[in-house]
Amino acid sequence: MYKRGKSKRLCWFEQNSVEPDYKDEKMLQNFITERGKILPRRISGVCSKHQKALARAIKRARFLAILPFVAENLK
Amino acid sequence: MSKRTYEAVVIFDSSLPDEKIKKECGEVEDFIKSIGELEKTQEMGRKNLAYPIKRKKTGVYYLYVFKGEGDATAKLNKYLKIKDNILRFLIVVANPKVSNKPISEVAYKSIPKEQVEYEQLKEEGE
Repeated sequence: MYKRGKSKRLCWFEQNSVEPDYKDEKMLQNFITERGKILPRRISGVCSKHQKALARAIKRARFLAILPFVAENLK
Repeated sequence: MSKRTYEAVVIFDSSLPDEKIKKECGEVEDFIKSIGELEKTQEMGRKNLAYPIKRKKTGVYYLYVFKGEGDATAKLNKYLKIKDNILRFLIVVANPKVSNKPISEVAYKSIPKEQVEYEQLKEEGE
């Protein structure tokens, strides 16, 4: 029998079986806005577990100047 | 006592000559060896900072992975705080799911030194 309801969509981290890492600039870039803000889950579709880890990774990356706290000079 | 694996990322001042950075890096390595077991050192390269730290716009990133007991991080923290020529550092408990992967997979854009010097000269000229 078919299951009722929406099919479950996997979050990006589960699809690729990777974990958020503060050293991976290229990966983190996909989860911040132009202004450098963290994207909300409802936009990025990341699951709760990975969003938590992702937020921590982004904050660590900001401290190490890998990511900006605020993007001032938008080109 | 059980030991944990830690990661330390250190940003060195990129205006120093390469040999001096290597020397400083070696000193940090020696210190980590004295407080725990150094597993690996990885040069992550010269990188533009997202925002200036101590008026510097570029830094040389180094990653140290080491094993140590609880007080090892406190000792390393104190040592790195006192040490000169370090722009910033971060010591965290390593995530086994992440750190087992080779770091070459981590996307890092390293910029050549000549370009940095050229940009610095240009700024001073202005």
